[in-house]
Amino acid sequence: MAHTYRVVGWNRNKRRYDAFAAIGIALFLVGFVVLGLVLDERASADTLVLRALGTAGFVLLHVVLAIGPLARLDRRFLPLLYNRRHLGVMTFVLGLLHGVFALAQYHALGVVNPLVHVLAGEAPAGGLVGLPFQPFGVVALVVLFLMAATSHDFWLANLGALAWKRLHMAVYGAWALLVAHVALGYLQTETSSLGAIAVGVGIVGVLGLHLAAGWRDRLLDRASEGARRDGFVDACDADEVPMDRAKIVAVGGERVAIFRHAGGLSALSNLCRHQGGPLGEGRIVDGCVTCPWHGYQYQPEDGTSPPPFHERVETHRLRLVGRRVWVEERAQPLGTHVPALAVAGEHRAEPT
Amino acid sequence: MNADEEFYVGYLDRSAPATSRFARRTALGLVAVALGLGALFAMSQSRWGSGSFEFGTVRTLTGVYRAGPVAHLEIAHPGGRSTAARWLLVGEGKHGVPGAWARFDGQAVALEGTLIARGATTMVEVAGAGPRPDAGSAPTGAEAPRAHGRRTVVGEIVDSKCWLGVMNPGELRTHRACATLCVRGGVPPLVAVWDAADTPGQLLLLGAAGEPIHDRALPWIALPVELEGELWQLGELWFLHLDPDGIRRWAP
Repeated sequence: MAHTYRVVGWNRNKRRYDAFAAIGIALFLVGFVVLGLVLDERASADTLVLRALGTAGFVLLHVVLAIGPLARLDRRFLPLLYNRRHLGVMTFVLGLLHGVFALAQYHALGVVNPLVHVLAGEAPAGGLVGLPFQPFGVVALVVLFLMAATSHDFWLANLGALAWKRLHMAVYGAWALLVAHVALGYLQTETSSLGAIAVGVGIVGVLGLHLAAGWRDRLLDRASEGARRDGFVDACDADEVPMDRAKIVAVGGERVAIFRHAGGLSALSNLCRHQGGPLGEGRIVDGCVTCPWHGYQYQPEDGTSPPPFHERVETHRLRLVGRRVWVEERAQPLGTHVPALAVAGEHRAEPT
Repeated sequence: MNADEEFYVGYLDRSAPATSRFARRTALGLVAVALGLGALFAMSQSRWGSGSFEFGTVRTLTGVYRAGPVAHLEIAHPGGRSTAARWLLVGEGKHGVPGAWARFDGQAVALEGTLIARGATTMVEVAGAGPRPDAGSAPTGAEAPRAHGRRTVVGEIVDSKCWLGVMNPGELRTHRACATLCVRGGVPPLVAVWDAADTPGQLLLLGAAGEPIHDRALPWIALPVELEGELWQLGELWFLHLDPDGIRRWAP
C-alpha cells in the first residue's frame, strides 16, 4: 500500500515472489529445449525455443487464473495472489517473445508484410479446425498487452476500480482465445494425445476452480439472506462475528462485511476499492479493516483509508434486535461515519 | 498459531511461519507441476523432419544453370558419379529464384549459396547477386528425363525449401502460413508423400504440361490431399505432373 506512484513498490515478499517465478520460468524454458534436443537428435533448437516460450506462457496463464479461486477457497493461498500482477506481466512477455519468434520464422522475408500475413495470410481450410490459428493468438496477445500495460496502480486509480476490473476480466477472453490458438495450431500437428489431454486438464481445472469458488460464495450468500423490515435486513447473530474478523452477508444483491473490532460492530461494502478484493475475508490490523489481497486498509466506522491514503468504501448502518444484527440495505455515501454498534457480551464464533 | 488464524499482509516484511511454510510448499509444488507439464509437452513432440540446412555456411558452386522444369544447377556429382547431380535453386528468405536468371539457362555459372538437403534431394539457397557466368568446365552426362507412369499419391503439399531442411518441421498445420508464403514467393511446391511404397517420398509438383502451378497449389498447402499424375524423374529430382483441378482433400 503506497500513496505515491513508483514503477514497482518493491518489498521483501515481492522480490522473493518474482525471483521464484523467474527461476521457475528459466528452468521451464531450458528444460523444455534441452529435453527436446536430447529426446530427438533431429529436433530443431529454434523451433524448440518458439514452442518453449509459447508453452511456458500458456501454462503460466493457467497458474495466474487458478490463483484467484484458490485464494477464495482457502486463504492460505493468499500469498500467491499478492503479486499476481507480476505473473500476468511475465505471461505477456513470454507471449510476446513467442509471437516475435513466430513472426520472424513463419511470416517474415516473404512477398507479404509480416503483420498482414500473420492476420490474413492463411485462408480457412474448411470447418472449425480449418480456421487459421494465428489471429486468435494475436488478439490474445493484444489483450494481454493492454492488461500488462494497465496493471500498475496508476491506471487503476485513473481508470477507476470498476473500469479497471472490467478491463482485467478480459483475461478470461484471452485465455479462451489462446486455448483456440493451441487447439487449432499445435494440437493439429502432433500424433500424441498427451498435449490434448494436458490442455483438457487445464481447461477443466480452471473452470472447475472458478465454479467451486462461485458455488461456495453462492451458498454463503443464500445462507445469509434474511428477513427485511424498514430497509434493514436480518443478517446474522451477533455472536457469529469473530473478534477482529468479519461475517460476510448478502444484502440486496450486494455483499456486506460486518466486522467486530474494539469499538463494536461495523459494516462496510465487501469490495475493496483497490482491486475488488473481499474485505470480509480480511481482518482488523492496527484498528483498520485490512484487505486480504494487497493489504489496503479502511477505518471500520467511516470506510476511509487512514491518512495519507484516500480510498473509501461504502458503510452501512447496523441495528441490534435481540442478539440479531440487522444491516441497512441502502449504503451510506462514501466516507460517511457510522458509529459502531455496541454489542454486550463476548463473541463465541471461530474464524471462518 | 496455525495458517488459518494467521493473516498475510504482503508489504510487511515478516510473514507468520505457517503462512510462509504453506506458500513456499505451494509455490514449489506449482513450479514442479509446471516443469512436469513442460516435460510432457516436450516429450509429446514427435514430428521432426530429417532435413538439414547449413545455416551460416556459404559455399561457392559451379555448374550449368537450368531454368526448367524448375530452376536448378547441374553440377559435378559430389559422389564421383559420371552423370551430373541436379541441385535445386531458391532465393533467400521465402523466395524462389528471380525470373531474370533464366537468361543463364544452359550456361556455365558460379554462385554462392547455402546447402539444404533431405534424402537424395539437395537445394541451394543462392546468396548475394546470384549466378555469374563462369568459364570453368561444365559437367557432362546429364541424364534425360524418364517417365515412370501414372501414380496416385496421398500426402501433404509443402514448400520445398522448408521441407528439405530450412524449417523443422517444415510441414503440418503450424507451418501452413509459412509454406503458403514461400510458394507465393516462388519456392517450388512439393508433395511429401505418405504412402510411398512405389514412389519417392518427395515429388516436385508441376502442371500437366510441365508448367509451374504455384498459385493453383496454394489452397491445398498443409492439408491431407490425394494427387494423381504422371511421375517423372530427372536425375535426383522427381516430379509429379498433374492437373491441379484434380487435387482432392484426402480423408483416412
